Amino acid sequence: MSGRGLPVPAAPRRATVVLLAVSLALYVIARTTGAGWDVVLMCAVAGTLVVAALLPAWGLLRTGAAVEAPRDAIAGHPFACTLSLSGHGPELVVRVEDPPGERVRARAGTRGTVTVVPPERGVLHGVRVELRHAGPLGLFAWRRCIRVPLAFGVEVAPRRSPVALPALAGAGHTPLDDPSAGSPGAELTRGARAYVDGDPIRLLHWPATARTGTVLVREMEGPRRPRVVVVADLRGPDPESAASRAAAIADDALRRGARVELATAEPDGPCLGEVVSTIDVGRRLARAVPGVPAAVGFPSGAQVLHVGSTA
Amino acid sequence: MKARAPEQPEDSIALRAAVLAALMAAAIAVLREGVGRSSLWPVVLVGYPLAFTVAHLTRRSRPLLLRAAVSAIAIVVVVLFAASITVGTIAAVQVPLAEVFMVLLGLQALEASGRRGLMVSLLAALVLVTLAGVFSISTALAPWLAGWAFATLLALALAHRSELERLPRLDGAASRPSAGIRTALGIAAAVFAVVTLLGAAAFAVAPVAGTDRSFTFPAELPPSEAVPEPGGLSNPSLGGADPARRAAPGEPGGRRSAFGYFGFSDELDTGVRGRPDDTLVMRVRAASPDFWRGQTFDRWDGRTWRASDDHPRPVRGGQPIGIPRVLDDGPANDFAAVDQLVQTYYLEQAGPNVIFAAATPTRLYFPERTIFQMPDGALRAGVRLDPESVYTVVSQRNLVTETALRVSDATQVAPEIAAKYAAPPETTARVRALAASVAAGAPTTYDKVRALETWIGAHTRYTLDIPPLPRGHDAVDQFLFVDRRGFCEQIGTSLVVMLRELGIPARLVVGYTPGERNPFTGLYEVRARDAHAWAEVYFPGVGWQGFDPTASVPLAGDAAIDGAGTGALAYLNARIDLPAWLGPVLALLAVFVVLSFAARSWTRRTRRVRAARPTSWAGVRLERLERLGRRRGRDRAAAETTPHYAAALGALDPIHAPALAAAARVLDASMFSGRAVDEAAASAVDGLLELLDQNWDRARHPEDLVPTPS
Repeated sequence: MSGRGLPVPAAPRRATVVLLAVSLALYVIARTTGAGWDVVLMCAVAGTLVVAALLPAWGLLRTGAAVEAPRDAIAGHPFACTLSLSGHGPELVVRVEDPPGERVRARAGTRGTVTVVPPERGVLHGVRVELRHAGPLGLFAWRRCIRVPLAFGVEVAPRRSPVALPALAGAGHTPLDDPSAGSPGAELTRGARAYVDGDPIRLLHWPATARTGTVLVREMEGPRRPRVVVVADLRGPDPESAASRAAAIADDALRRGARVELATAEPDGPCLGEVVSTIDVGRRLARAVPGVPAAVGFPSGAQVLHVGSTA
Repeated sequence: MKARAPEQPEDSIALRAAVLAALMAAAIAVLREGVGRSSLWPVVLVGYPLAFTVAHLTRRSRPLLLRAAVSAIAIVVVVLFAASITVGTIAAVQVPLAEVFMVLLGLQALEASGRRGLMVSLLAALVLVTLAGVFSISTALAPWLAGWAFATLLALALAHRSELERLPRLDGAASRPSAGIRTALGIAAAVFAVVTLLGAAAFAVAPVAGTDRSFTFPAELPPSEAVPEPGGLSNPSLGGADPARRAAPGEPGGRRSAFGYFGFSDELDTGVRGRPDDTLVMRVRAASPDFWRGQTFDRWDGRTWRASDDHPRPVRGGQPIGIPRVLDDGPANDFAAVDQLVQTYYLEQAGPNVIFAAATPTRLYFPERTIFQMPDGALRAGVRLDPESVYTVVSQRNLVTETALRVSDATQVAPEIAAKYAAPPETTARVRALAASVAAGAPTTYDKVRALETWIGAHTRYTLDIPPLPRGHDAVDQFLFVDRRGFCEQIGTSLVVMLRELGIPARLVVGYTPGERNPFTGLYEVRARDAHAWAEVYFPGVGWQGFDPTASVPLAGDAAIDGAGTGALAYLNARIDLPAWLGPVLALLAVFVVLSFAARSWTRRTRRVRAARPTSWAGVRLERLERLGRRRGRDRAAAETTPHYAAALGALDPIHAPALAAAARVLDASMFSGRAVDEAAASAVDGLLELLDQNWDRARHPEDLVPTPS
């Protein structure tokens, strides 16, 4: 939900407290000494305090904010998003409050990049921007929090735990810990055919060419890739840690050439699907919620790895 | 415990200069009030700028030697101050404290390397201005106050800017210092104007300065000589023209000063004519107005007033001098409602040695240990009261009201009061008859007084231009039946004579009306023309109460002032001689400024809108699509691509969804491919937009939607 947010007073500044005390002192002095000028002074200080208290709120009301963010991020890792300030307000202090980001100063009508660090995994549909203003006198600060919806949700992937995929081996599969598994050059020759333009020279089958007198090339077949299903069960006391371990295992499996499917629970229900890259892994786990993960439809022969909060 | 972060050095020279300006304006405002010795001027004019310069140059290094020297000097200054003060009144400590404070401020400025230190200097400037306000008795403080205020606002704006500049900028652009100063100057000017308006509004309702609980009782005499005769009256303002003044041996005669008043003499001849001018004779600091009484006369011979007993008796004391009650005050009474009125008199001219006071003085703060009291309670100094003489009187006032005065008739007048003040006076038969007839229907003393006042107000006219009193004529008879014109002396005398004729104790008092209240200083400015004579009537159980048909004599219980700023506009208007055409011109100028501001805002907004409007073929179409989408209730989100937006609109209008998707592809291709759109695709997009324009006008009636032509 987009919230416009009304300005609220920030914690009182020391200068404000001092000036209030001075006003009180002026009143006492004027009343006990009969000094008329001190009444004038007290009124001037009061007028200054009123101006200092109201102008920042007005400035904040005239300023709006919009944020553009990348689609992917990793929990605990900074990412840059573009912040634009609209309106006719003065120069003020801006900070993306949720997820927490750096504090910058900006004038309405400008845009630039700010760095934010999402503390945990999830999907960010909006960010909360804090505008803070104490100008023009810096005596009284107001803050205004605006909930800015994002055009696309930022999918914040979990941090990767230092967890390695256990050694896998299965019938008909190349063991994952076999260094040749999935690597180039590990292909098998399935047959030979006539050369056509564009075939790589390295595939020329010289002995057959010599025997037949026709230029023949090898037809190759890749190794059979092992299949892994990572079941991320985020129910339990520490879903973040479970998501981190699931991500690390899935990444490791992908790196080692396996076909990986992730079984998770999403807001719509259990979800099972193949992931082909670390970004895919991150997005799926960003969307994952505590719930019963998919338990059926696993490919036959796949190695199923359960990762849970209590594991 | 949280450790305080080390202060960052402040690099802004403009901020430092603004703080220095505020501090100097405040210090000069104090020194101009005569506070502090003359050696402080170089400290302020040279020392302060030097200290600020050194602080700026050493803001990063902060030499240990310098800091040690500053600390040592500060300790010496404080020790010297502590050794010099003596236990006494606050007023006695004020000036040395202000002096040492100003010296310490210069030392503190040496240490102000960062913004925090500069803000401390700014706060100190506020303290100095407050001090100047305490000491100031004139509007001469105004320009310094304005200068201090502007410099302070500028410093605050620059400090805020400096604080902001510590943060990185969102757009990464560098700040231009000169632009920052110009902006801060503009802000300070605008805020100054707004604060002036708000402050003026607050001033109108703010409480009046001063109450009965005062902590300071100024008393100061310039070197002055004793009066020729101890307890005697001396009035140099009357010069040789004073017909009744006791001449001092060898004292040169001279002309009466333009501000001299004949009433401050041993006798008051109502046949003498003289018109005091507008000279400011004194200022009185008091929380509420009253008549500043000088002395009274009780013996009337038909032309001249005299005091029947003119033997003063000395009254001695310390600080303060307690003023004893006198026989003429009547028996002590225990009045239900009393207040204390503290009045400080700042004399501007060399006048009589009469010590003025609102009735009834109980304490006097006066540098001399001996003063003199007349039998009627009037006070006199034993020395000449020259300009710059200051004394403070505390009076106890019965907060009388009309009701209290009316019920006082139930109490008998003390015989000694009646004998001295209610004996039948020297006057004519028709004056006696007039008094009896006017007061005939009045049931109480108070009503009799009011009836006589009303009659005098209705049948006589106040003027200073009256013919001389013919020799041998009764002054009251001449005024009431012949001239019917006169001023306070004739009017007051007539009231006293007629009251005495009715057996009511009354006397004539001379002194000053409250004068004009200066709303800024809070002081009453008493001019020579405010010299006045009025009647005092004795009410048993209450005391003496003033009455006068020519001036509004405030009853003490009704004399409150609405707000500190009451009468400020009238005061300024009377002093600032502005041409008549200036008002309309200023009004026109204000209208012009407002209209210019509005026109400028409108022009800027229009330019912004125009600048933001697309000019390319695809941009214009996309803007139209967005407008149509908005009409349909779907704004384009930030960072939403054209195809996504078209798909969102298509979801709202499935009939046109395919055409919208195709149009989005064409628009995207036109915007990003760099190739021209072919004519057919362009006309299809235009056709679709036209169609949507017609259909989405009737979006509330989906049955009107027509299919997109293929």
